[in-house]
Amino acid sequence: MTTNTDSYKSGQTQGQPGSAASSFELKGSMLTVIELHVLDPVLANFAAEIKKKVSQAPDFFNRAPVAIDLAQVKNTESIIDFADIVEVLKRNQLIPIGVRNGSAAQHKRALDQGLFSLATSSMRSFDSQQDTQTELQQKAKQQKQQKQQKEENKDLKEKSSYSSSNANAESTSSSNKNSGFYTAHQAYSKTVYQPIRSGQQVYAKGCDLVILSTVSAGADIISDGHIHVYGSLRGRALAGVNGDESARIFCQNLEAQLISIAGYYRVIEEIEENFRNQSVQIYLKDQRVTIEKM
Amino acid sequence: MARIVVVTSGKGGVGKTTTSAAFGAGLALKGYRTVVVDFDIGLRNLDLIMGCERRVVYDFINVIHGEAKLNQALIKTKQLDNLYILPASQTRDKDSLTEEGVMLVLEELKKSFDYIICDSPAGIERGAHFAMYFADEAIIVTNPEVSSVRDSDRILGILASKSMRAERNMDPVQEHLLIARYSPKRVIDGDMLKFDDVQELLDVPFLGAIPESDSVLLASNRGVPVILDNKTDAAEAYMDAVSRFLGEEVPHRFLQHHRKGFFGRLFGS
Ligand SMILES: Nc1ncnc2c1ncn2[C@@H]1O[C@H](COP(=O)(O)OP(=O)(O)OP(=O)(O)O)[C@@H](O)[C@H]1O
Ligand SMILES: [Mg+2]
Repeated sequence: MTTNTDSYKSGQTQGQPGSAASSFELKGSMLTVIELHVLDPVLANFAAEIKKKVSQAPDFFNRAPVAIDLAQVKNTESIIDFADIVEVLKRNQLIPIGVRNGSAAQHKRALDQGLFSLATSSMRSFDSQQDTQTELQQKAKQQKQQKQQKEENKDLKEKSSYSSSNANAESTSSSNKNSGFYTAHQAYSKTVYQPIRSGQQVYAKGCDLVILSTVSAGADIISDGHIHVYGSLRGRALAGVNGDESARIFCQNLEAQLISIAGYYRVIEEIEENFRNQSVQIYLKDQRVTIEKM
Repeated sequence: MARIVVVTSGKGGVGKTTTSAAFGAGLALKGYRTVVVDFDIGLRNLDLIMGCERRVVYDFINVIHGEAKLNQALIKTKQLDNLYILPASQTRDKDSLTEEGVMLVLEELKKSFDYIICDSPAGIERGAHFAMYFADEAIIVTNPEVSSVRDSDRILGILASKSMRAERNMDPVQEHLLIARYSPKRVIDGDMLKFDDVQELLDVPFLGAIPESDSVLLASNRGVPVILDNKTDAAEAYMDAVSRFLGEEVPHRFLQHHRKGFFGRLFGS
């Protein structure tokens, strides 16, 4: 009684980020560093102890970045031999990167050894990401409302499919077109090879987003330009978030929870059954999110 | 080279501890020196279902805090000579886990074992974080229902971004999907997700499905890893999964619903 499932042996393909037209890319990221807390500025036996620690777990320490933390050095005048610390760390395949929580004088001397001053608090919580996410959604909503109004103002007689909560509003934002509201995205892209999981978020700032894997329900993919998804799209996809109304979403298998172009959006309940699980493109037509089979 | 394998899920009660014990015993049966480490600090289940409960004197936290040597805390199981467990503490809380402490214990275990199985607690808190942080491989245990799949997806995201391998830009943690408590009948009735839907949703290589079976509870009450409970479906399904984990190609069983024949119904086999 055998059943054919995806052959177990096939494994996963793990790609490398492809080459983009730009020669570099800046990304915010969290880096785990090992903190070396200096307890006694004299640091007797430092070299021997570090060597011992590293030999206990060579894999763990191998080429790990190290921050030297002076918070526990009571006397802010203490002279600390940074040159020695740097030398010992490097000899043990550790990478000293900076100091924190010391006095200004101490930091200045550290800088002479190529150690930068690091921020006191290095942790950025997972929640802050989600804050940006809700901010983004709010932004999307605002934009939608703004444009909704604009549309209603333009032609009050035509029945708008949007609920008209404020039909008599004064025309406030009539000159939106040339207000520099959005900046056109540039012609390069960010490519993602791994699956994007629930709770994760990817943002292609100023460019297109190409995703070669699946986007899970509960994940967000956001781009200032177009979005291409070659796996299943089950999460939320927001293209042209900076206001580019020509942005499009292309996907192989539409199961999205939300799709948005330049702030206009549709949630899953507003996506017609016949587009589900289809290969589609999504774009803005007369300021409505429009889906078309490909 | 020793491998650290985390058994994790996000959601509680899906079968992580059952799977840790089964895989520990399965790998030991295949001749590997194996230790199962209980990261569920404060609850302590593993020793119970592996029948070692009465012999716990020292635990993982004692070792981390230098109150006991590692080999004082390790317990050899009655059933297999090359299978050990490192029990969790029942009295301390999970804050007594430290990154350095966990790392040193794992490094020490690496010297004497081929496989170190880390039984993760539910959730994404401290205990779960440390159970997966140092992992080389991960077995994601999922039940065939939407909320369990969603939680597993979340854990996969964390493995891909917050494990040591991810943070150090090393080769990623190798992921495996195991569906526990699978009931082909309930799939047909529409109460449960089908195994290939789960696999497609999570997009992770599939180790196999363990059928829902009373023998699991019975075995754990007796303190015997279910895999040693010969001839039961659950034991065979776990053994197949262990073989696949080791790279063998084994046909899938237990995925289809078999209507019992006349005699089967008569004798309840
Ligand atoms: N295949 C199975 N068939 C029937 N019952 C099962 C099966 N697998 C696990 N169980 C039962 O489910 C319950 C939970 O299992 P287990 O303790 O292994 O889960 P867990 O994921 O470790 O839970 P926790 O999150 O609390 O640590 C137990 O009562 C166990 O006997
Ligand atoms: Mg458990």
